[in-house]
Amino acid sequence: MKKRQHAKSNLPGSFQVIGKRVPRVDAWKKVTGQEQYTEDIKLPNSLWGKILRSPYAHAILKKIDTSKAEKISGVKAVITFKDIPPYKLGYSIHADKYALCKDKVRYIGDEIAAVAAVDEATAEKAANQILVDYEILQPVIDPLQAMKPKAARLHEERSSNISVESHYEYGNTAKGFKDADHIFEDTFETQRQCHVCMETHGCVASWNTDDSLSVWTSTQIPHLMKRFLAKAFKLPFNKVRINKVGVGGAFGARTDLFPYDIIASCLSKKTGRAVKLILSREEEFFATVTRHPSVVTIKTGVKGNKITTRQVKAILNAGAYATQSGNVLGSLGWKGANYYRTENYKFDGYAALTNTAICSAYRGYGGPQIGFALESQIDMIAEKLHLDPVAFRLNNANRKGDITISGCEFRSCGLTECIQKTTESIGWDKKKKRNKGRGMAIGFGETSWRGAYYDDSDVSTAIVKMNMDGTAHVIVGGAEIGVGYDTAMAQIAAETLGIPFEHVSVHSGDTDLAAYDYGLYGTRGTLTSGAAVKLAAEEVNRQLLQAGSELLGVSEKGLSVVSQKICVKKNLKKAVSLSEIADYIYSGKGLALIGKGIYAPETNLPDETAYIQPPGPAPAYLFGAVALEVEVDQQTGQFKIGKIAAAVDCGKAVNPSAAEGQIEGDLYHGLGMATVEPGLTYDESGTPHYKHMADYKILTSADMPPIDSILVESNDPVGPFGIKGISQVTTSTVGAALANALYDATGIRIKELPITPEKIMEALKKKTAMQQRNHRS
Amino acid sequence: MSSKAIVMQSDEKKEVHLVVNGDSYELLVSSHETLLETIRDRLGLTGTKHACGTGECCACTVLIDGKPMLACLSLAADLEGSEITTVEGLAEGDQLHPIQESFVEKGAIQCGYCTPGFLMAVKALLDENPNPSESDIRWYLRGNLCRCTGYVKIVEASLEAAKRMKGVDNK
Repeated sequence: MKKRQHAKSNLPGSFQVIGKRVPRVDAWKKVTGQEQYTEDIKLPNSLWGKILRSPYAHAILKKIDTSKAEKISGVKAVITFKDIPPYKLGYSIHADKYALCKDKVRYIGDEIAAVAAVDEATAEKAANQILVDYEILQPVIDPLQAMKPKAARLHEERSSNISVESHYEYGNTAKGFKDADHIFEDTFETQRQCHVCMETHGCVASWNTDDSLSVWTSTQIPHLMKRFLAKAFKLPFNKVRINKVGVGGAFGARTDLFPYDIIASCLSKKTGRAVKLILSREEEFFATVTRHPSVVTIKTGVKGNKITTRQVKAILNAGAYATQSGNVLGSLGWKGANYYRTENYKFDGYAALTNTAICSAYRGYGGPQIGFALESQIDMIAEKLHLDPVAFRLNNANRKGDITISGCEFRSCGLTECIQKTTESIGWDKKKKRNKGRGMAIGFGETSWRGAYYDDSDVSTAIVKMNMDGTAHVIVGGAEIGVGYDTAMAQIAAETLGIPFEHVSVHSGDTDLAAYDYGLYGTRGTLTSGAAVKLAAEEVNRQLLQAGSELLGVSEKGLSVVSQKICVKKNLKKAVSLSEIADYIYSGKGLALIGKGIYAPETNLPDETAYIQPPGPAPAYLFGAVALEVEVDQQTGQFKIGKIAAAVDCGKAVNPSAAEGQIEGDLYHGLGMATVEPGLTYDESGTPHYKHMADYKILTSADMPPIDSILVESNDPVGPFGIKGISQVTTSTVGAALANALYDATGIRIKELPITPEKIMEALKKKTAMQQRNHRS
Repeated sequence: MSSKAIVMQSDEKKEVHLVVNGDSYELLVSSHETLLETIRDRLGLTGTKHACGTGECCACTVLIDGKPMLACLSLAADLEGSEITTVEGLAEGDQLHPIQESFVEKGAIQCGYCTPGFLMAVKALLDENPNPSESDIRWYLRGNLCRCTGYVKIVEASLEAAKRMKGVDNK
């Protein structure tokens, strides 16, 4: 076992840069139009790529005729399965998809062939001239049907359409239920939410004359992409460079290697010219990735006012290929075990393959599915047992020092404070008007999801270089994806080095510059990269102190760093500036100032079975709460949220402004899922109902209620400066808070997301009919 | 005002004269060429973003003769003599526009893809109504979609910009 590397924290400290609302380092580029996203990259002599996608949900490819397309003027290459490397996309044992289909298509949007041409219009025209003979098969759309033994099989090599299943138990649930005073069992459903990144997916690939490959793309995982592409094309790793450019929205949607990455690289190799391949908005909807639709059944045993036993059964719709379904399932089940103190827990999870778009990572990663079910049921239990829902939660809430049944150790826990602050914010105890209701829910998450890429350790790296004028460069392996990662790294470096924030430049997302890093997902960046940056900066500090000692003639122990100077502790006036020391190191000693930092939490050791077995503990755990007030028009079912308060225990907010932005974004995705977003639904032929932003409604500025985002700082001992992370918790929380508030207002319980006025009206009608029936009898 | 002439060979023959961010251009444009293609692909002004291409998200908002318009739905051939302002034309030299400053300082930017469209829409709003209430702002910006911020800090930045621009006017 590796020893846990606790980054040393000077807690609770007063910081110069950490905790300050400094402007983001990328803000100026973004307000002036200088930031370059994938479509803005223009290489000389480049071509456009276009993909021919399957119009059928399930079909055998009998014949592909590219001859007509090849003859079109301006077309430089047409490729099919036989032209691409025989590499399967997907993670580890779940790899099951070729970039271009071999002999079968499995959903509307599946890649069949591709074209490179002089411009986009020509490429599109040619792609439409590729003739394909299909033998149409019966599609399987519903996951419950797909799991039946006689269902049409998507992947012939599999024994069933169950892509992955997971079963485990802690304690003894049978005994737990036997001993319980009350048992509750309820089933909840959530929809297939679309990420709707403002920038569509795509890349620019250039196969260079020295047989190296450069790819410019908006990705969360530059180093994993490098590794996958090198393997796919059998290139040495030093011959593949990923240049992560501006990322126009990620939310988990950019944590896979996509077929277009291989297709564009292949087209570039074939033509000797760079190829730009940008998906259309339609393709973005039906042919990238989505959230897993879920059916979650929770059985809870309560003794007195304590939850003792819990059993969760989850069925996820995986879409047509496995990708990260096993891990989303793992995350869902594991969260279910750890939301509250529980003695016994059992999980049975299934991810079913269907002829629909691929479901992969999406903000929350199983959290919104389990969070909606679990936190809706908590209110239902509290009501049946005549307990106050807040008090019931507090009675069962995790606390600092707890070690859960799955082995999570909570070294910090601000859950109680999150509950108190959010309920206070919306005036929980104030008198309510008719048709108004209040609801709340708690959230749980972790820093760094360990299941996802379980074939090596979850490492982050940083290099800090100090120039001879005392300014510094930070080179980190992660990726700025819009969350403020580069800014946080600059703040952590500036704080550690004791130099102004403006004196630090950050470079992330370039695989040739930085050392290996897992990437930006799973709420890991600020803690894991932050720890690496701190270690690297501390190495520079040690060199500065050593040189300072030489210059001042005082031992290192007698020196301290104070506002860009190294001072003699006993006589602060005796000092030498950092720039003088740096200059002395370069010019006087003929050396250079470089520090490196590598951080890998012991909890993130590779584990091939992580997708079946519950994962081990995480470096840090996040807690949160959402409370809101809603007003319902019982004539129409329309409802209006008065105010939402959301609190997250993030350990320590590096940049409060950016941290609030994460809560607000989380809330936005969670609230969209809970209300207006229909989810990508399909007709029985497997045709998606939505292909445009005009049909797939997302919330606008006029729709959003007032938000009170509250940062709770519990100063965790593991991360640097007490940092844990912040994102994803609130996305998983708001759905149940809304369902609970609507119940409070109307007495109807909606167990299916999204919650629409139509569903409310239907439930109200049922309730009235039942009341009338009861009245008559 | 500087003057540049970019003449492109094209199937269609319509010549238009556009003034973009104060620079004058003579362009031969095809009948189906959108303003978004003209400014991004021909003039290299990639600050204006392509997000849906069908007028559903307002990411490509620019000012045409001072009015907020969607570049993806505007045909360059129809814009003879128009003055167009894109995000690149908002700052004056090194001096950011108060709207840009407010977005930077209020943390109204995350991924930044919708930002240029928002900046131009807020410019149009504040030109029309220098004293907008929060609900005026939310209503005016309802077509501009953002998937990162929940609009909280964008609205805050817009209110701040209004305050700053009034300050400038008072001087």
